[in-house]
Amino acid sequence: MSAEVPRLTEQTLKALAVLVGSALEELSGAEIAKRTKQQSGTLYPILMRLERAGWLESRWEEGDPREMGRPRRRLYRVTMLGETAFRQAIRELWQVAGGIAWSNS
Amino acid sequence: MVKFVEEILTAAAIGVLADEIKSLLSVLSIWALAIAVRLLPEAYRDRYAEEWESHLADLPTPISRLAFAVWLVPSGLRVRVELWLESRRADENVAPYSRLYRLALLMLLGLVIRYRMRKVVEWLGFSSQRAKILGIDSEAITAIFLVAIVWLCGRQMKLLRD
Repeated sequence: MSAEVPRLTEQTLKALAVLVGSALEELSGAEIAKRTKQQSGTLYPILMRLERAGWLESRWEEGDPREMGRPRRRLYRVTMLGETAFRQAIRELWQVAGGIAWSNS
Repeated sequence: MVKFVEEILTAAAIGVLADEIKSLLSVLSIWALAIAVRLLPEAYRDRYAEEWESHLADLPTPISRLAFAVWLVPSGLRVRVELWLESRRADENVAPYSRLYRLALLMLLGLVIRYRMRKVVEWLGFSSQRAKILGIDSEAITAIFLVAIVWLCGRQMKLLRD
């Protein structure tokens, strides 16, 4: 795990939002890509960064690939740390957006 | 009758061609995936090879599979660069004195440039006469080098403070 805090770009927030939104189920990279409409080239470095920061955890799908007839999926789930960081980032964004709305009105 | 046979042959040819294109696309996808995996640091290859293969298998069409695999190539490169930068930063955190050495080296280089610039210009192959003709003034070059070195020293000091 890296001590470095990941930059919360739009794409990172999207990926986190999908995982926080489905906190009860674990999602594969393919499922996250489908829901966030992100290209593989963008998504996997984000997942790697978040996992290294301890914001996500992942595990291999259970089952024998030969029986399933396909390779095992890697399933991702957001951790408490990731969820807290995400909610904090969204709160800060709302505050900034609220400030802009007030200054414009 | 001839037309009927012609239609059957055309349909068969199109079918064969479509199969050929499909298999070509899947071969290209596998190549692109292999390249992306090779770009990763060795410790990550097995995990991502399996993960990306499973993602590839989840995609519905050969074209989407190829697009996915091609997009993985910059992903592999990005992961590698990021991990390299991270390890560099970690090294610097472990050895903060490396910044001090760098600072001292830059200052020394600054002094050499300040007091031995004429020799440096000659060493670069410019005689004083030729430097004048080319408009290269050793004082100007010295000033540029010194500004660059002062800037680099400032940066190192800022990083040290941080």
